Amino acid sequence: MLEAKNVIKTFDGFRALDGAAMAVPRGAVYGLVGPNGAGKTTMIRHLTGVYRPDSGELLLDGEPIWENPRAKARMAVIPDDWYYFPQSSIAEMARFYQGMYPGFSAERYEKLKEAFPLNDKKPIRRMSRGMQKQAAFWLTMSCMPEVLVLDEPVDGLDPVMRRQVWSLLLDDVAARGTTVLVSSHNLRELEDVCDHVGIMNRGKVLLERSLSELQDNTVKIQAAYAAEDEPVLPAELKVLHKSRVGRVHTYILRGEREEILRRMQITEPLLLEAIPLTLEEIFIYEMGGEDYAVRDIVL
Amino acid sequence: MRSGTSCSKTLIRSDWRRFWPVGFLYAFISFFMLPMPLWINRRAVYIADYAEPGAYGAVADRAVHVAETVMETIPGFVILGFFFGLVLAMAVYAYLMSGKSVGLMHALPVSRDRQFLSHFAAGLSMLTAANCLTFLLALLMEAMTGGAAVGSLLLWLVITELTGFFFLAFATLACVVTGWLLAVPVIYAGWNFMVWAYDVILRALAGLLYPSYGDGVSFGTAVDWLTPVVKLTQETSRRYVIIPPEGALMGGVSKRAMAAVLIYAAVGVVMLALACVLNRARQSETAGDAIAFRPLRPVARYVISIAAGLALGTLVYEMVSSGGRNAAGMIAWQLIMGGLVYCAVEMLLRKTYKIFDRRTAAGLLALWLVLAGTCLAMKYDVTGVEKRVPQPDRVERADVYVFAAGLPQTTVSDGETLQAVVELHELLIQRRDMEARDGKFGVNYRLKSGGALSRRYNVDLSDLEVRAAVEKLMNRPEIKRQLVLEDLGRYGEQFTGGYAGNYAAGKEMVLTPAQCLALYRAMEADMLSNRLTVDQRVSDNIGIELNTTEGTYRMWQVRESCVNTLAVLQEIGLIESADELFR
Repeated sequence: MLEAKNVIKTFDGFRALDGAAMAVPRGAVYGLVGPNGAGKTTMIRHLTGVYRPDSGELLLDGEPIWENPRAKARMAVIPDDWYYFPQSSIAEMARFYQGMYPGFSAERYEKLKEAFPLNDKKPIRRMSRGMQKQAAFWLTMSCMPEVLVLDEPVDGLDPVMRRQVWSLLLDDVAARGTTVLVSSHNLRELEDVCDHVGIMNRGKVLLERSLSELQDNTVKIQAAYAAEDEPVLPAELKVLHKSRVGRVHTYILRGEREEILRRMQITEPLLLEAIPLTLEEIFIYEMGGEDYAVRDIVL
Repeated sequence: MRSGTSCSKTLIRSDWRRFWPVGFLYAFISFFMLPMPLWINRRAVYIADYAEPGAYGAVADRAVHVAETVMETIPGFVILGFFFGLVLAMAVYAYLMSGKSVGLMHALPVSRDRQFLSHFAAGLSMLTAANCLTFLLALLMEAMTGGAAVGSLLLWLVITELTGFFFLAFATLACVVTGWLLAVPVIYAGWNFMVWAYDVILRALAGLLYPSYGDGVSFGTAVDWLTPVVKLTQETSRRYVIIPPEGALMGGVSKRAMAAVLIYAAVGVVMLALACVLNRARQSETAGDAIAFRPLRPVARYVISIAAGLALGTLVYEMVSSGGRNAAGMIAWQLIMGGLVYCAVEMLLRKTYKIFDRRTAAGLLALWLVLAGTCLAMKYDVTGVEKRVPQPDRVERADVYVFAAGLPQTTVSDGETLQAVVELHELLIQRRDMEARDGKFGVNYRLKSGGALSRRYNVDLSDLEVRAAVEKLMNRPEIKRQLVLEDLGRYGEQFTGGYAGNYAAGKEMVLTPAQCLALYRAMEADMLSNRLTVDQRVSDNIGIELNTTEGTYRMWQVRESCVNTLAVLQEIGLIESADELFR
């Protein structure tokens, strides 16, 4: 399990992580989402041993990650701004990774040639951003890590290559039980691949659950009423968001689906329906509660 | 997984693969500095002043030349090591300067200590490989040109390697304290020359603010040691070549030079250890910062802005005031220039132009207090610099002059003469406000402790007490002998001939040994009988050269009171009368 416990990090007086805590179960594909500046990249840099926390703990299976080559050898990372030696080719970087990661598999490297249509003798700096991202995946996956940490991993990849990359990753998860921590703004994509989600804002992990749990716990209700007045909902219902078109009211509520439907019956709707929520909607409504809602801006 | 602090071969290989051109360039320049001169001068032989050609055989003569050539190159290699230590450190530690690269390196399963040592090992191995290659090529050249001085070459290798190690460790420390590649050469040069620069600035300022301040080196030895490239270059220039009777040859540097090299190498080890500790404490997110450690930021801020304030402020003041002595004007310019540099440094440290807040205001105020306080303390001599007179028994020697009294710069070391110098010095301190009617009295003390003290005072010889003190000094036998005989007496009376010229009359003549002896005796008699006074006239129109078996000695002045000398000059026909010289 990859864990962060009460991590605090301050940069020049700004608290980038403010007691952040999260746990990525072994074999999970964990999506870390949050608005810009929430602290996702800072959290990832802590979890990969790049940053040292002011306080708190970062652990891999109970072992500290900071300055622990044994723990780091089990992890590989593709940061948002992946670095390669400027004059190097993929083959040269592969030799470097091979010397660094004991799990590096030359056989896997050769096999992945088929998945990534790149010339591994060509300098990486001559490649497009998308090709460089492919190179990063090729090299990192050749390291055969137990834990793969990805920060905005598919930015710059075309749709076919995105699908290819996710497919390879999920194969790894299925075949070797690889744990994947992925930070992204593309929630639709995360929804397809993640089984766990953590939402960060202002240096804190606001909530983390399995995706199914999260989707079960937040319900979108559409109700139509005979009267024009807004119905009074039972006080025990926790409303995250509401909107109205004519006599049709839409509510985003936190709680169990069946329980909410039962309690809504008290308002005597003409029509009452529960609609599944997307991850994007969950994110938007959860963040709305954190004063990060989409605002109506009049220009 | 190895987790100790041994080096990572992968990192070393990676550094070599990426930065070999730096090592190659070092080897390339080294080739032109050592093996190439050996080949170009392959037919040259060294003939010592004290030995006939072939005295040691042709091969030994050639070997002496080779040893001398090898030793001559060492100071040049010290300077080369100074530059390449910096370039190599900047190359192998460049990853610390960018968030992207530091992200890759610090996420690797290698501890920071091990990474640090691996990169250092890569840099040092490039220097060592280039040095060894140069050594082998030089050896080859020696063998091909028929003169082998292997001992000298080995000594060259040891010194070049140790000084290279020192400068690499020094530059490594500079790399660790900053997160900005462009700041590395600035910090490295700053540390190498900071003390020297402060010494120059403070001496220049002292010259302006202390009326009596001379131009002696105030912090002498410490300044030398804290300016490593200068110290090492100076020390390794002291070399020798021994040719023992057995014919075995050894070129070497002085013991002092070797001690300096070893001391700096030891300091290099300490610096490397310090850099390693700092690297461990360094936060990865400081990549891109001018100074990576917060506590060092005020040090950088004040050291730079104080030096710039004093130096630039004084320079601008000198330019706009045309050599004025108005302390208030000078301080005003120092405050302006110091303040400007302080703001510039603050902008670099904070990485923004928006620095004008209370923190900057407080910092500027502190800086201005230091600058103004320094100048006012010097102006009003709070530390008593101007009143400082050394005890005669602590002085090794002194160079003293009062040109207006006919006392040219003369070196004295006799205890009583030094006492007379100190008495005159103390008297002139009491007459500090005296006008410079008769120029200056200047004294440079060289102290037994190795230090130096240099002062100049205005002299007015119409002040009887001052006049008496100057004459007392001039009539000390040690000075008088120098004034009259100019050291001739020390070399005996074995004259072989000489020359005399009267430039006023355009006369020249060759002297016989007998005439030389007569002239010498007359000068000696003058020295013993005369009492020198400040009013005596001195003629510069006479030139006398007396050749002895020990060499040639020259004299360019004759005093009016040297009646015996003037009589001999008249007798041998060089002058018609004494008056023609003192018109």
